[in-house]
Amino acid sequence: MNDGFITHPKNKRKVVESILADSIPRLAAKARLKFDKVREKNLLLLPEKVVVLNETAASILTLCDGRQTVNTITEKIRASLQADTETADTSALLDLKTMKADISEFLLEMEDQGWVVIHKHGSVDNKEQ
Amino acid sequence: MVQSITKNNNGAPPPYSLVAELTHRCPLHCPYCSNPLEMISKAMEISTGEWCRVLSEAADLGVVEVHFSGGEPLVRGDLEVLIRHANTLEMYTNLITSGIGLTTEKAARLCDAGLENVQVSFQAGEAQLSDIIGGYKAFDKKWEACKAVKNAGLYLSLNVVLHRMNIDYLDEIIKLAEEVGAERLELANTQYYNWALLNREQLLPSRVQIERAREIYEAAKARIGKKIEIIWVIPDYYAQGPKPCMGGWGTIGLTVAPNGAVLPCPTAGMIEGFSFENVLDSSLRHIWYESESFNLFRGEKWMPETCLSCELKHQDGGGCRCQAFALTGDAYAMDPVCQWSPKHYLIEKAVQDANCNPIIQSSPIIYRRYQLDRPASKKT
Repeated sequence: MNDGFITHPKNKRKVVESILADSIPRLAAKARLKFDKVREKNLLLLPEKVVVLNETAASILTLCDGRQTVNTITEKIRASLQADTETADTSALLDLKTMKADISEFLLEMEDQGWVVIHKHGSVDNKEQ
Repeated sequence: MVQSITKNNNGAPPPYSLVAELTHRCPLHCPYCSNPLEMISKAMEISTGEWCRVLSEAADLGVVEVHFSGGEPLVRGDLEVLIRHANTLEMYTNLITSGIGLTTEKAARLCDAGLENVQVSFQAGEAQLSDIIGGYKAFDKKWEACKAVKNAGLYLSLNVVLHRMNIDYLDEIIKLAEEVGAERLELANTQYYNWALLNREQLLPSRVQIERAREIYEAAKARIGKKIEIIWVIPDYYAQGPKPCMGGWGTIGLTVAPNGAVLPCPTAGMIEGFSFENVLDSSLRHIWYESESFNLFRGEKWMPETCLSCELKHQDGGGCRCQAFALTGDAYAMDPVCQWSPKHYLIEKAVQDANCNPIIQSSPIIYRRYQLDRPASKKT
């Protein structure tokens, strides 16, 4: 019903000013993740919008359950990538710090879209701003 | 990415969304209603069981979002059942409502059934004008409905159709959205089909009105920030070029009308001379991939020469077929909104008339009437 029916989170590579580290992200209440068997794609369902996710975006968002820090999420993603590339070229894998920066950047972009809510460490406030 | 997903038969991708137009019955009489002038009677509405089958077939086909719409979908007693069914099929559910009939208890039940998002329409930011435009004393009930949505913990969107009568009061509308705690506000300039086209002279705003409203919208967006997602739908007649038809004819979504007719968009039923297949006779899959009506305007083959040789065809897909039909009587014609259309003067004339000072309106506004609203008899 609107022009931006399908959009794609792009991973622009730029320097992130602050790595999120201990912050805890969770999917916004209005958003729902779904693996679509018809298209064999991970989708993010939102009011008036469907976002087609690539595999990395989907694995990160699946871990945004409001219980784990960005650090933990990054370690898990890296571990699963490592397992996938065990027999292949492991040197191609990004180092942990770069990966943390990339994931932080992605999550900030998702927060900006309103699809992810990020609780800063130590904050007990229920609402983000 | 749309192109890269599963191809089937005619190269059509599977649909993402379904507009389930449950009924044309509605307590409101908005003069810009997108329902057809000739509405489907209650007796012709398909049953709960048939709707459940439509939902199941839609899910199999690849539909992931359902918009329960109307008329007023709450006048049907089976909305809860249908939402629950859509939810078991893992579809994201939206309710598009006037708010009439959405009590706190009802909202809680629908939420329990799996409803995610409620879009409540408002006709203006305050009661008097809102009730005049809707032709029904609805404003206070709508306000109550918004409270019910919030109490149920559902996501609340407001939709306000903008036109000459309410566009000067945009600040009140934005204030209303803030007061009711809406998370999203759609400021949708009227699209001129069906009832709205009938009332175009009374509804089409002037350029000055639109510019002023756009400034108010932009200031509000800057002030409110991310707290409310505000959407501004540009008025077609004042746009640079035609809009793509709902992301393309038979490309992203489909509509099932109250009688089970399957349409590429909610207004396509207005195109005369085409027959649209019905879920009572064929499967949704067959209709989506194989029916003549869905394949008619897919791709570029149908396009007039001017569109074929135009590089903008990838952006606008040749414009809106319903608009082409509504204004020229030929669904294959160029969308008159396009400046290269030989019928573009029709748009220019309408815009010119709307910008006359003072505006002279030749006829009174015509309120939407459901065909069974018989003035002679009180029974419905």
